[in-house]
Amino acid sequence: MTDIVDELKWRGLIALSTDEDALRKAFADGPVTFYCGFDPTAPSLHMGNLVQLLTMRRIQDAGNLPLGLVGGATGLIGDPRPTSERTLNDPGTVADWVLRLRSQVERYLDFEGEHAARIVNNLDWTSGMSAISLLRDVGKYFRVNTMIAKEASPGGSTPTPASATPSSATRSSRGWTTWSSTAATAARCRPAGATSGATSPPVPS
Amino acid sequence: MHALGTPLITKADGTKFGKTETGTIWLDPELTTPYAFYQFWLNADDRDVVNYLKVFTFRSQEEIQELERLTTEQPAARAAQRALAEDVTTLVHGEEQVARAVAASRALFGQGDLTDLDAPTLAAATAELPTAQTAELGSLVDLFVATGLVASKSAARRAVKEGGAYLNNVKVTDEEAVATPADLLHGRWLLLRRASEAWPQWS
Repeated sequence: MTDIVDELKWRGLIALSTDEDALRKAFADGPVTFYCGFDPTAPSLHMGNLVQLLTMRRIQDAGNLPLGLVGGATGLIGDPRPTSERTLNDPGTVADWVLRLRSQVERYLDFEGEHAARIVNNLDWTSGMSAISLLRDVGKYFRVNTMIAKEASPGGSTPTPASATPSSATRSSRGWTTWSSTAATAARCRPAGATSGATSPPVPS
Repeated sequence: MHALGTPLITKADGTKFGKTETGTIWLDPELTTPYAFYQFWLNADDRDVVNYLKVFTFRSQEEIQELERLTTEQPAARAAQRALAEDVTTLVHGEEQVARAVAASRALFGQGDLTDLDAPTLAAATAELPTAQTAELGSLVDLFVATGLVASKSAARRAVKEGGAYLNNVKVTDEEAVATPADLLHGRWLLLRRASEAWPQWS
């Protein structure tokens, strides 16, 4: 089988990566559990999302375990845009979009066999989280200056007070998703139901 | 932990990928018909098509190189675009929808039977053509004028005489012919065509 990193590079699918050599080694060492998230900000995925969906399938076909993540939590917070304030959608609408996106994501992954995919929703492990826990356990890893430097909000590098809180929440939610998906990964070997019970995050070292 | 980022897909002409004049191309067939989806890929620029084959299909390096060669040598045949449109539409909407999209393209250009097309496919296939609405079915000559396909009744009669006027891909032979409800495709449409150009008539 062709090396998956070479395959992805040949197809032009790697725009950024943290450490290519370490990643090659991880893939070579055995099944890697990986996730890609899709936020329910519309009733359907679009053409651009196909890039990620098909990339997931390629990595799965190379013998790895995909987690298709639908961002039920992230979707409730909304996405910041450079030109306008975020749209906060009604929770019922977001829940409906989660179901629709879920069935779309399912079409592109294989749910059978040794490397069967799973679909997860980050609302499952964030909805029970308290404000104190969010600020104390997750928020402390998000530096305000870093966030402002990257801010895509009205007014560029000087976010309006109205958008500052949801922005930090979006980033915390995304970062938290990354860490807690790792928890979900670990939960693979646990009895059913362990994932939704995994409410304490692994602490970044 | 590792992170990988996929690239933003770009187009050689500088416009945004995944959008047309009518908006975003969605994966949901209720929001973007499989016909429009198929056409989106079929219309890929020669400069973009090889890149799209790599990103959006599971074709091998050898197959894509062969399609690249065909694009360079016989660009008018659009072999790479057809392979791309067929593969991606099959992935997203299934083989049956690909067959329908191909049938609609052919029928619209006079090479197939329009009555085989289902209503959503026909609606999508004719959406980008100029249309006219009419409250009652009249003479074909009047309908040709109403669509703007011909400038006048006398020009419409001339088109019929020359054998260049078609109703639902059937040549019109009688200058006095009148459209009947039986002619309506899905009870709504008449497709009028002059020479090789297709123009629908909404009613």
